[in-house]
Amino acid sequence: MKQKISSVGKPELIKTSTIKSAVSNAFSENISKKLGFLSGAIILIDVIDDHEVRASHIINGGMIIVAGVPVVGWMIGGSYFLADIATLAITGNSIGGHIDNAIDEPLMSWTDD
Amino acid sequence: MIKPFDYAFYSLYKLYLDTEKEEPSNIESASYSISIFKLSFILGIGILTGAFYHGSLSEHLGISKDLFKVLGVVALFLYAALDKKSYKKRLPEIVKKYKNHPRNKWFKSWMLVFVGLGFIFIPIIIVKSIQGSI
Repeated sequence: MKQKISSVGKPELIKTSTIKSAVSNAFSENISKKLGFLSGAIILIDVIDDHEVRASHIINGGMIIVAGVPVVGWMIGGSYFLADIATLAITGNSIGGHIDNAIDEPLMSWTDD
Repeated sequence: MIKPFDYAFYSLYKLYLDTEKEEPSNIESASYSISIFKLSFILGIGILTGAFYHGSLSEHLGISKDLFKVLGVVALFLYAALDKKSYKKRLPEIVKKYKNHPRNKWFKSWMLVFVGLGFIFIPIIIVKSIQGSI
């Protein structure tokens, strides 16, 4: 967080609530929630279609929940999103994909194939 | 008769009213949360029904997996949007119905987290135990 020095020399921290209020309601209340729902829906359809829960589902689901927390969660969620895109662009596979490959087997599976 | 999802919506709406100022976004927040809650219910149904089918749903429908995902997400998004509209319209009726409901004495909003997790894990346990006994 950005620090500023007050006139008496004591450092003052900018509160997260200040950042939260600075972000418009249109973003914090609508777009972020819709994006969260969208991500949740994608995970749900993936799980239903594949008949299994993989590590990437848990990580991405966890990130949706974390990203729902104002300011700090947005930072963590945003950083993960950027890191995921960068990993996908560089290696051709997302962070979740790499973890899935490393674990090799799904965490839960209910298919008898 | 109590409608479980309506009651869940009421308890979430009440939670937002108690913790934040009374404003229109409380309905949005409550309906968004209930949509996530419903997603877990749909997932549970999907797990139960999926256990009796071989192969993926997209294969059964004869469409690609990516198209299935897009169609599914659009359908869920439309459902959530219609649901929000419905809750906005029915809010006074829901509040009136559940404001003095006896269940309010012991039911707390945080319990919905465990109900949501139950929607997902109980079908998995059922399916696993059925597959284990066969």
